[in-house]
Amino acid sequence: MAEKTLVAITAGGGDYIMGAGGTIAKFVAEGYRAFVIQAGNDEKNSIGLGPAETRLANNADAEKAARLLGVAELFNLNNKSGELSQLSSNELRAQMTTLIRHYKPAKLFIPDPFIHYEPEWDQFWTGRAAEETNYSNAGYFLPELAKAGVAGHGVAETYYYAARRPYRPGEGGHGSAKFMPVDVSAVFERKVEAFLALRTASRAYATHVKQRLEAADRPSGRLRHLDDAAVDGLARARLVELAETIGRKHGVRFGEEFNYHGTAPGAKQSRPPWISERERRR
Amino acid sequence: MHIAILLILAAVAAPAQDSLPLGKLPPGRVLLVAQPHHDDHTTDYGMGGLIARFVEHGFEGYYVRGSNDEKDGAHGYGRNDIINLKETWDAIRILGMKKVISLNWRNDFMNPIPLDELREQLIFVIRKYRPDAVLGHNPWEHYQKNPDHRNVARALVEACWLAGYETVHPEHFDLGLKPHSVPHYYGKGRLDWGLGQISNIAMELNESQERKKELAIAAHRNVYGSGGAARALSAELAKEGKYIPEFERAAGELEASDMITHWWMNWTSRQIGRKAGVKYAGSHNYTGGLYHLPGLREFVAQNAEPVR
Ligand SMILES: [Zn+2]
Repeated sequence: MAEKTLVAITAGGGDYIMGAGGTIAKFVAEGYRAFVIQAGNDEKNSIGLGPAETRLANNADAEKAARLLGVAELFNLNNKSGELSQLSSNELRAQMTTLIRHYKPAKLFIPDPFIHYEPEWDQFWTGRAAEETNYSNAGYFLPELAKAGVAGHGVAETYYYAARRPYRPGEGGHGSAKFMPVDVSAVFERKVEAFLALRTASRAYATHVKQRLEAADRPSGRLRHLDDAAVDGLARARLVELAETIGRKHGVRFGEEFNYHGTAPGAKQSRPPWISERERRR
Repeated sequence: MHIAILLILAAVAAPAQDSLPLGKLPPGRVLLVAQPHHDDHTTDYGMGGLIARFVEHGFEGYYVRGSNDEKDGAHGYGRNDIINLKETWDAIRILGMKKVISLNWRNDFMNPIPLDELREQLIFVIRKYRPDAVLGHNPWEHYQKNPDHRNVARALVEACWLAGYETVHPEHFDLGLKPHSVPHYYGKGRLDWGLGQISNIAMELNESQERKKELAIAAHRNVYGSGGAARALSAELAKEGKYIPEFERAAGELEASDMITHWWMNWTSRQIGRKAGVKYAGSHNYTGGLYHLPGLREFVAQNAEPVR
């Protein structure tokens, strides 16, 4: 196990930054090496560009954003964004498994496939395959990888994130999975800086917001001209509102939150109660 | 599929609910349990005790194993399949069931399989055995990361319903089968990775049913029997100046390992029993026969008469 390695799995180039970017930056500051596995090619998220130009632009943005966050490497699986349901989930899982075995992370960040009312199904399909790697990383899976010298690797801690909104009641944190808030106030500017690098996607977002506001007869002066400053301003406002909303839930200024399960390094394994109720002193 | 948790469990699943109403056994004579894996009939969050209770009340029980269980165990795919299937037979006999029907889909690779095909297999089995009650995973449970658990459950609840339609797979009728819809479904959900399911009933277990549950899961020694784990536990306790008296009576490390499995089952049944005010119970998400027809409960209460 590479003790200070983490892997973030993400549907598009920006999802992991929105959902977990501050926490990842925090771990990077603590000395973790961070790697990102991106499931989709981001070929659809733009304004005024064709699919090939869109993916090139978004991929370049994502590389830059990852660097700014402190990520050591972003690996893009290049499946077609928006069409992940058409891919065999076993195949997607095998792609992720291969890379997880390669990076050998102690911590894994994945989109939560069990949050509700998320209209982008890529989040779901990415999260589902990512979650299953918990199984498929075991050595008896994919023996062809072992043959090629890539042995199984168990990940000690999994952080599920909801990419674009706070967790809602009934989602996560039950049973032996903990609900884990993280105070990202100290690294929030780094998260913002990384996110602002995703300008192709942010421009598409700003355009859609502008169109919606205009359709609702509530146009915003700040979005009248969608120059870089307007696009960045909206992207920042979006991150601030998200982080403050989560932060309010947990008594911090800027927060992120996770459905977490696993065992942190150094944590003492407690003995199951069916054992401890029987143990006696000699 | 089992996860090696006997001794490494960091945190025991906290109870999702404080209290549960006790359910009654439905009338009938046939029980079908359809699960992906060899051991899913029981396990801590499972239903081995309820199966034993059905059988003790005169039900004939049948077990469908959806996958080939090739990945559970250390003996390679083919041998794991054979050993796990044999141990399934051992376990279901302990619970009093009659037969294992193995569908042999590839273990832990069931996510992208054609669900209609799996559903057809289950419809066929339902029409053949005509169960009054079906037990399986709850397809709506959350944080279920095993694809086989999810998909067998999805196909199963649909099969319970569609098996009753004479327009569905009419080719079955040429073989002498007849439509049959299943009135009672008991779902289970894992609680160790998150919410799992919200159970709506507890089913009480007597001593015999609890004991059968313990023995049935321990019959899967290929994955649950670990002499090494029992030895490691004893060594760990010894360092703290402690021991487990029962281990001194065990014939060997493997028997000590069986004991741990029994205690695990027993503890879970006691926890659930406490929520329902009884000694032992299992918790389930139950959907009754009239559940999916809105308004029918009231209609039945007002208009239907009991058979005399
Ligand atoms: Zn299973």
